[in-house]
Amino acid sequence: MFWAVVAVVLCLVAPSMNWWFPGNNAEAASTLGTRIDDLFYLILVIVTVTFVGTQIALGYVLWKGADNRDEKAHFTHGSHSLEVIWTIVPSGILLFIALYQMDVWAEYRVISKFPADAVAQPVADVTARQFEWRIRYPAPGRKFKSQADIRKWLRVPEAGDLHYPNELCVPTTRNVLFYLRSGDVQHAFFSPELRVKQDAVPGKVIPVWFNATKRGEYTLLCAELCGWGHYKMKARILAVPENEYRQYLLNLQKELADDGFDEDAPESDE
Amino acid sequence: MSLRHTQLICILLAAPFVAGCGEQPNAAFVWSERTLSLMPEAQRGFRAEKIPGVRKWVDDNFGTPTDLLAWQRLPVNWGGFEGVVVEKPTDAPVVMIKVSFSEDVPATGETELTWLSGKAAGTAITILGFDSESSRISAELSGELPEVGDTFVLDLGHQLKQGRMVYAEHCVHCHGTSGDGDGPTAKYLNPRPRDYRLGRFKYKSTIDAARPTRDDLNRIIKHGVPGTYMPSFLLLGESETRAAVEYVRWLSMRGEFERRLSAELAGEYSTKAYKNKLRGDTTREEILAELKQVLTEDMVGIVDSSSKEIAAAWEESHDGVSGTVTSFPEEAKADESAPSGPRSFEVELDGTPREGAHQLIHVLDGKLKSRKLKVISRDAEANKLSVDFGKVGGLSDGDRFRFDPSRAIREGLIPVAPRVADSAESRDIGRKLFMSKEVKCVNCHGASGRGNGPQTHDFAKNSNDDNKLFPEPGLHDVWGNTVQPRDLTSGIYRGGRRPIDIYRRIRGGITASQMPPHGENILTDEQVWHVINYVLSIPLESK
Amino acid sequence: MSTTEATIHHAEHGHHEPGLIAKYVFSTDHKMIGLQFLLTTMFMLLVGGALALAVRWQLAFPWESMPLAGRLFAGQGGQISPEFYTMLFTMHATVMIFLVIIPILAGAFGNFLIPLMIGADDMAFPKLNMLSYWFMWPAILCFSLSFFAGGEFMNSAPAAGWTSYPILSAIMDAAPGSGHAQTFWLLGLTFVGVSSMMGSVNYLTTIINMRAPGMTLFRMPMTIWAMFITAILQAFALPVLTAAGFMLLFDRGLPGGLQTCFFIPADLVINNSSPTVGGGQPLLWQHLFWFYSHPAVYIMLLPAMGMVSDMLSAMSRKPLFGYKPMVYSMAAIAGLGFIVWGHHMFTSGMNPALGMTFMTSTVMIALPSAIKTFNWIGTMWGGKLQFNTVLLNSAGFVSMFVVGGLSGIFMAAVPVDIYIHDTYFIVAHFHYVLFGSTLFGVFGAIHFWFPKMFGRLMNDTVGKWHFALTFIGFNGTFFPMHLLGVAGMPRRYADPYLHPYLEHLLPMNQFITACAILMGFAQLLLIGNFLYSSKFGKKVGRNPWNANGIEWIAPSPPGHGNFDIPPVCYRGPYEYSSPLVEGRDYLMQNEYLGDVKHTAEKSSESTASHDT
Repeated sequence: MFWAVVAVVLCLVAPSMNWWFPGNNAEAASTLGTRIDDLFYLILVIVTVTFVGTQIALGYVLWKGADNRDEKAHFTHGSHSLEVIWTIVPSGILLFIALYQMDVWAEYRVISKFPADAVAQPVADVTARQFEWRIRYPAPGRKFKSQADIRKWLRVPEAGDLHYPNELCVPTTRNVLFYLRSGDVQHAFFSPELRVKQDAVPGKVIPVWFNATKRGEYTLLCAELCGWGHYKMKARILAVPENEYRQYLLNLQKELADDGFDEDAPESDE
Repeated sequence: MSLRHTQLICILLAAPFVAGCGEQPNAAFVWSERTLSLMPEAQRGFRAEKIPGVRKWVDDNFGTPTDLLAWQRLPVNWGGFEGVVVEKPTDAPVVMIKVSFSEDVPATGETELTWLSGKAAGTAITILGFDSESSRISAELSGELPEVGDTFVLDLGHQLKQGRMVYAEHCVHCHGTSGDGDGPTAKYLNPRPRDYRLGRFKYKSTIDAARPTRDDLNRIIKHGVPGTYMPSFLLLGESETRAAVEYVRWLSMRGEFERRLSAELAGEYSTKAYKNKLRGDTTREEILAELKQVLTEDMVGIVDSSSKEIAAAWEESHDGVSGTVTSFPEEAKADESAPSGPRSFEVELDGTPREGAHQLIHVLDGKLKSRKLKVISRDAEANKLSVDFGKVGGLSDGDRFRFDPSRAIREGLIPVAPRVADSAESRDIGRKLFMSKEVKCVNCHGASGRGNGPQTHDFAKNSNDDNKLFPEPGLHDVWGNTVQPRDLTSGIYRGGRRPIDIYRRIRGGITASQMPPHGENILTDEQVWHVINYVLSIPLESK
Repeated sequence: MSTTEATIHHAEHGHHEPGLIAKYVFSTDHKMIGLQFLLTTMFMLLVGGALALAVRWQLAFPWESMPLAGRLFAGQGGQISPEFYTMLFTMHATVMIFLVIIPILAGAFGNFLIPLMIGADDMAFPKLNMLSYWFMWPAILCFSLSFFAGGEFMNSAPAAGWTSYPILSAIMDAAPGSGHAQTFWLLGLTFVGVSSMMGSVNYLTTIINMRAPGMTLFRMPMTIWAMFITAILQAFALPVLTAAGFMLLFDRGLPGGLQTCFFIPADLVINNSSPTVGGGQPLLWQHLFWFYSHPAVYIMLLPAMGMVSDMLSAMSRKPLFGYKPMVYSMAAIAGLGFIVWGHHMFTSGMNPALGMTFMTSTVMIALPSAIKTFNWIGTMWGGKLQFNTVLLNSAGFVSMFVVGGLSGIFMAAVPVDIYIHDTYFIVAHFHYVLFGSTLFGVFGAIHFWFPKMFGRLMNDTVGKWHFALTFIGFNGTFFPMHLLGVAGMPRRYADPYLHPYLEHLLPMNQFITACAILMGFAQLLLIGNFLYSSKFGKKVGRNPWNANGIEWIAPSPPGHGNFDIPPVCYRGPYEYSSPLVEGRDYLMQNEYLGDVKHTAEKSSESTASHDT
């Protein structure tokens, strides 16, 4: 059918028109993101074949049926073997899709499968509130001794913590884990380029991990309706190499310690 | 289906379309309540005699949201590219004028150009476009052609226009078109959005009622006011933020201007006063004649003085003009050990510092970075600056510096001693000060810092309403809203959490709300730092 | 049973005509109630559509004054303010789901068709039936009131989305629309639920007890099967939603300052108020809500599937391909429909193991849907197609259902859903299912059964134009939304272009809006055609389509009591082009062909489904 052709053509030209995944060249900027994309493309192929097939079949029967000169239509109540075929084949494909996805999902969400280095040293505590992101980093150089230590840090703020709004800086060289929570209503942490999305559920502190493979500035926004300013929760994730990351934290520490006396730290951004 | 049903349904279907038709509303500035309380003639003037009322005075100087006016009297960076004609323009129906700018100017389409010098000085024309590659302006000129060397401003007020766009996109639904803090969303918010029209802002680096500096507003936009609905617009972009700051300043000036004009008339010519007068033996004609006289004779003076005072107040709170050293005398560099004393050198300034307000310059980079130096004199014509270097040697070419922003507005808000290192002892001293009768933090913030001190349960007087008591207990700000003393256990600091932010809150108080300033007579600098160390530690201990 | 009923029925027939109010307003006649539902929902369709167009306006021309309706808004200068935008899409979804799609399927067509198609003279409980319609109005009233709840027109409607996730919906201060408007919304939802519940109880009883003699379960038309399964779904899922709604109401506050905290955890600071006390779980609402609302998706789809099966068979002049697999797959969809709700919550932070199980069940629900699609195509294959509006809309249904179903697979796959969730991909998906499928099915059904309702035909040319414009407008609107979703544009954003990576999508959104406007205005054709034809359409007899169903025996429009004589059913409804009769290609369910032919036909029917 005409419509199927248009749809497929549109899908084919879409990437070239930049109507495709965000990010440099539509590539995900994290390893999990790349795997998610691969799964997407796999489903896309299966679905496109099915889509084109059914639409062509539909178009064909419409075309033939409209031009049917027979006195009567073909009289049949169905075909048992056809039914069996089109039950077994799709169910096989569908089961394959379902099982094939499990690994990525497990790595993304099952805590026991999280990368150990990321779990041991979380980089930040991210609080979503109407309508901004408040980031809390542990003091530079603070090493967490145990999971209990991390839990304590999550419960009670510390004097050396660094607070900053709407900008999460992470190192590119390792896996990073942060804890996500909400200060008021439900939000969702969504970074399109990194293909990370996790709801911030009030009353819960949820660990999320990702790794940014490339240096860059990635979008961070809210993906769960949180009120009138939902669209305003504009923030960014800065992914930089380890040494720059350390420097970023030190600079932040310096800025946050500004007591207005040392003229070395100008109090304005100008 | 009966015919009647059909008709009824048709009418119902048509109703929304009919209701929706008609005049299309335009974004307009909202008038303050006080302006609207004036008698109609005072608001609108007398059209027949061409006597302007308050609203016309405001509109004529500020314009409407879609047609902003740049009232040069106000200290606003309107934006606009200053340029100069460099070649005799070609004579054609469409004139091409080769020009040069001091900065990069993007290509534009149709826009406005105002001549600053030359035969057409002071007039504005609409040009067809500016091509940045050939650096040519195309325009249709009917009269005489400009000469080489004529100066002009391209796209005057573009910063303000940009500011309005940013404001309309991000700010207006809370702060309102005229900055009255009463946009459509405002009524759901606690605390209410800031009403700019009083020219009062809470979180700033200046004393008491002084206006905030651009840096202050910039910081609020970037970092938000935590614990309120004012979010952080960190990612807005430099030029957008700057434009928004400018627009907010301008809106604030507009609001203050309107307030002042209305206030002048409110006593005698409000609708209420008018009715009272009528009840006496004054006739309507007499009142109108009187009003006409006020509007024609006194108003010009009021407009003049109000605008100058407003401009001066905002001008006072500037961040200082920066500049670059262009040529520092050689011989002075040779001997750096000797006392260098006063030196004179050439500079290039980014703006014009106000007379008499530049006793100090801050060196921003180079060898003497972060030094403060005393200015002896400035020769504006030769772009020369004479500075006392004492014993510190000299500057180098290319060094950046900034004139000290007026110290008057920051008196007492700049620490004279550095922060006392955070320690258990320091916190303890701070805690004692916090509890002490002299400093009285506990009265509002409460013994545990929860913001529930005894004063939050008392009834306060309303200074806006003949000192009657407010109907509800608690502290109130100048806008008449209840204010809650900060719950210091929450770890949220509206004005920012840097030590200097809290220092300013303690030293300068929070203008317009009930946080009083604490001067040297109450707390020494060192004591302030102790209190700060204690305050910052409260959230760490409470859980 | 049949003889006694017949006598009662005849006795009723002699009754005097009811008065105007009794006939049009407080009617207990299922046909009138069906029509009432139909007209109400068509009006609501326009309301919901207008809300959608306002949403589209903002996305195409952000913060610009809206033409025509701009004056109605509380925003300054005819602008749509951001909180009003949230209200717009919330109410669009609410109106479309609860006041259009559910009632137009179950209410309008369920009511009109069930007794006619099973050969009954009315519903089992006519008064309950009337009540179920009149319970819609308190719901409409509540939803309308919620627009005024803030004391200001149109600036206080519920703004928590149709899903009403707590905390946004649980705490009065959380959003501009979370005040009394949200309370009204919840009450309205309850009323809709009561209305649906009354309907479904009635349908179940009617279908089980009042079928004509000879109408065995497997001789029921697919429409009736669909309504039957839908009614079961509603009866089981609705109580959960109602309970959840009440829990949320209690959380919002009871008289006397009492408050529960089912969904509210402790220590949230909202709008600078004092921290919340509680130990609730916002996720509980999501579980309860989707436990209803996912089956509700099938409530919104199955009846259309059933009707399309009937229409396709009639218009192809061919028996339905694989009747029993169709029935079983529908039952499977309903059954699986109860265990897939978690796929709305993949990113919600629930236990990841649940994600895996829900993924499997969700992917598997595509299977019965696929079977149905193949069977529909099989039905048309080799048919003698009547190329009219009904067929076009039905084929449009199948085509769009394929898109909607296939795009669903992306979201069923959890890892992909991590990215796709709450983007425009979802919006595209569910509009393909709810609009593309259900509404095309409904459009077809309106044209198909219109002669039965009014004794007149709808204008076919206008109908084709309506279909063509709607189809083009629809695909132009919703297909590009897949791309928006892949490009990462989140749902429910008043101004997505704030984010640089979405800036380039503005032209596409403008294109979408243009298509949406086209589609919106195309619906005026339908309404116009409907109203005009009801008065001036071409008059037709009882069976204009030469269809087989029992409803076509009744007069058009059927009088009180439906049938002249109580029908008896001899075969299934899909014996088109049967070789048993000469000179015509239909064989009605009630036609008695003599003993020999009848048995022959019966045996052929029983073997047909095992035919190879």
